Amino acid sequence: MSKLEEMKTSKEKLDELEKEFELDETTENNRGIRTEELTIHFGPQHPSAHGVFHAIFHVDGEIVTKIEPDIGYLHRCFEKIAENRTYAQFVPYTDRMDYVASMTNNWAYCLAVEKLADIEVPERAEYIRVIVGELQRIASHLVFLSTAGLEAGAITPFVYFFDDREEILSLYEKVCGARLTYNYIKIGGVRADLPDGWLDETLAFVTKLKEKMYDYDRLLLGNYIFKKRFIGVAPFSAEQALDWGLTGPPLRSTGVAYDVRKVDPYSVYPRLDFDVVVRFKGDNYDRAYIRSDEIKQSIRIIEQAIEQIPEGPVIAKGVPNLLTPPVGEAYGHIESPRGDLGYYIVSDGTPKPYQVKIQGPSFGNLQALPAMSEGTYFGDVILTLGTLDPVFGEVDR
Amino acid sequence: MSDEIILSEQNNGNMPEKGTIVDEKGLGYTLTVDRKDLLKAAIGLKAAGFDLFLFVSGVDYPDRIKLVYRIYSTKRRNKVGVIIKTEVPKSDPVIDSLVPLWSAANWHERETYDLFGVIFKGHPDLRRIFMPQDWIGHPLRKDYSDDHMLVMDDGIKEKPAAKDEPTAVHKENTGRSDKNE
Amino acid sequence: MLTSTQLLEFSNNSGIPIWALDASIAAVLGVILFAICGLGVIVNVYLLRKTMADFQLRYGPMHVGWHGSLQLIADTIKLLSKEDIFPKNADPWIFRLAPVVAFIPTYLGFLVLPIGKGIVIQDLNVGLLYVLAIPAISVAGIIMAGFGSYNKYAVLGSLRSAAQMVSYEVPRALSVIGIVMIAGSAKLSSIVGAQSIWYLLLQPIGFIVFLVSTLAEINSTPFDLPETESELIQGYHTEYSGMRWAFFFFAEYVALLAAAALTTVLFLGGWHGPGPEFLGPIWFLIKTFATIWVIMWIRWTLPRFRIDQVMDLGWKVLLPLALINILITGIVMMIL
Repeated sequence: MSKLEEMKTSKEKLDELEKEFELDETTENNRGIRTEELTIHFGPQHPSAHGVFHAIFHVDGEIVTKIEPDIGYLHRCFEKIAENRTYAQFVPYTDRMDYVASMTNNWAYCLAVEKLADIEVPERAEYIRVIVGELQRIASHLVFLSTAGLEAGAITPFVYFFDDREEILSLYEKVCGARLTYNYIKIGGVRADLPDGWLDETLAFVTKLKEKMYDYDRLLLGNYIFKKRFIGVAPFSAEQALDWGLTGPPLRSTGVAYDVRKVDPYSVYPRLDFDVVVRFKGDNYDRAYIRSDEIKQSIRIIEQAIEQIPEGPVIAKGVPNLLTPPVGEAYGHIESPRGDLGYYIVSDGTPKPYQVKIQGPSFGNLQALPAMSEGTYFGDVILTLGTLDPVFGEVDR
Repeated sequence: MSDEIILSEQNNGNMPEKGTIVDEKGLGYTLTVDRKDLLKAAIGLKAAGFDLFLFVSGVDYPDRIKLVYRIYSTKRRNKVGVIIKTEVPKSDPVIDSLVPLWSAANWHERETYDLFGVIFKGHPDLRRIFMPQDWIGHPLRKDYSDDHMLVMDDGIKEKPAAKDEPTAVHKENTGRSDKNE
Repeated sequence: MLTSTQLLEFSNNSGIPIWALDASIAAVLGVILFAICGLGVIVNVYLLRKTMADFQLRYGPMHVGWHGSLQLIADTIKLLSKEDIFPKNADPWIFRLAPVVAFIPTYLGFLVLPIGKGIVIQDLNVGLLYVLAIPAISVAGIIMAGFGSYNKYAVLGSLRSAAQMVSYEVPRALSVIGIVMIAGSAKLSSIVGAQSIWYLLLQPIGFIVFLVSTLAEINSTPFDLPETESELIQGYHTEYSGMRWAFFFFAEYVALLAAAALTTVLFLGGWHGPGPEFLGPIWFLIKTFATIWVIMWIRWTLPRFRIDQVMDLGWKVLLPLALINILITGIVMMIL
């Protein structure tokens, strides 16, 4: 008997058995014990749903065998709203996308519009953008580290990281008056010049944070249990990561040095000296650790930028409030804390964009979750979701 | 510069005849292809080292939908991204899916299907991703109207005939969501 | 305290039937114990919140009473006056009984704990066995809560809890065998009486095993898997609210108090301390709350394990350690 036939017959046998079993079920003396997978609806209201993530987990004991993600609970169709707003009016909407890193969203949108309308941004404004952008990266990564700890059950580090983030928010408040939705970077530059002494305060803060990061690394990332929970869980190879289109820290944790600041330099990044941090295992621990290292790189960038920042205007001359770019298309992208954040804008020569596409890194990263974490423990799926760091304002847009 | 990117030996003649890569202002390197050549071009680009799929989106014109793909190469030394442009007529918005090449295209194509109504042939799971499964119409089309969602003053939901009936694929796929519930 | 002959005599003299006397003594003692538990929990929770706040660079409750000392009373009043929410498909009796079943056994554990010399409600000669066995029944209440509330998260939480409690009961019981061997008795008052040197020093391995498995037993971090808020929302008491939830909360902190008191009795010399004998209960309380503080310290410092790692630690590390401890104790006792 060939192997194929053997398989067939065994399958037939199984089918027969199943039929018998089904008959059995209807009779009263059914003693058969049947086990089946438990389906759990994770979210949209769940403490670690990172917003409004809904997924159906198929759970076999403690192991998640299948994940069916279901997104769209926060979908506001910003791309449609953009078609009905002028170019300048849409900037505040970008704040509401990645609300943990609003500043970089402003920046990416303005960059695309500036490409479209051919606007030259003054040098001082570029430096200010770099400083606030890197501060935003630090703030966002601090939120990541705190929630990564929280999901693993470490409650105390959460407060420490938020304490530092609070200082960044206070710095932002001095610059633009807002703590969460800044609307600070505008088309052609930034909204206002920095207040007196702000750069010194920022420098003092990053110097202090540099020392603290050493402690934090040992407190959270060096913790024995934290390592036990994170190391070797849900590893992703570089091939898989590229196949699934990861960007940002999750991609860099697999060894691919893809950082928009280096590969498609924008603003004044070519003048600043920093490294693209890369780790190689691509597991949860690497995805977490890489953020801590990126904070250190951001501190380096901020220090250099503060040293180099020139005097001058902060907004390009002759940018009208009702901007009408020429007919054309433009794509501008930056490295947001979550990855490659791009805006593709089509202009038809009117004051409103004809079409806008927002390429949110969270959206691209989140779709790898099932591939990454099917077959791991329930608790690990939560951690993996956390290390992908999706923000649902950006996933659903 | 522009032609150097693609013309490698690995190309295997998969590139469409007409497609040349041009450096377009504001977009960078752009390749415009016919819709029947898209898969060919994508295979060629992937063989040439373009391994990171970033997004696909549409631009809605009265008679056609322009599709825009962006892919990037981490393997090539000159580290460039390429935008592929192609067009589908609105009467027959069907195009080959790129999911077999990049798994990343999965959700992006679902999004484009959801918001523009472009049907991706060969997509493993073409369902709406943001809008509810029983939604009528594709919101990012310029002729989209949500009049059928209006509730009149007297509380009776008046439902004028929707301009854009659900497509066949859509109907087929809604069955799945019912099963889940 | 009172012996049965004294009781019989009193009954004969006063004409009150013996059962009524018995019942009334039990009721009075029960109420006193309940009040002590309640007071203990209040101090406990206040300590917990303030410790947590200190660890986290903040103040904790500050507004109700002096430095927020009346906050828990305010919270209790709020919980008691809350709407009683009953899930639609929940099993009515199992759901209602579960908090009580979870609470009573932890509370019964106090019956045999000697607070000072001779201050004990019932000094059983199998006191140690009793105090390990009876509070473990509360896992039944947790399983009832999980199955009764018709919620998948609750079921998972209660199953985790059952697995964890059963696994850690074994090393916990084995870790104290060394003490029984040294003290020569399972009566808690004799164990304390025999501690001229704290058993912490004589039984370091036993102490570590006991403390770790106690942490698992009372579902404290790093073993708080049954109610991981990041995974299972609230585990077995996801569906509970108001007063029923307060009962679970109460049970949790009474269990913590009882566990700390038991640690004091077994390893920290119970009522022993410098000064006259009547200071015994005060020393006992100081040691108990010091133990609670250590547990808090661990709770606010460490992340939690994964379920398989919890099981590994219990069966592959703690159990062999407890057995080795018994072996070493036996060999040393034979030599000396």
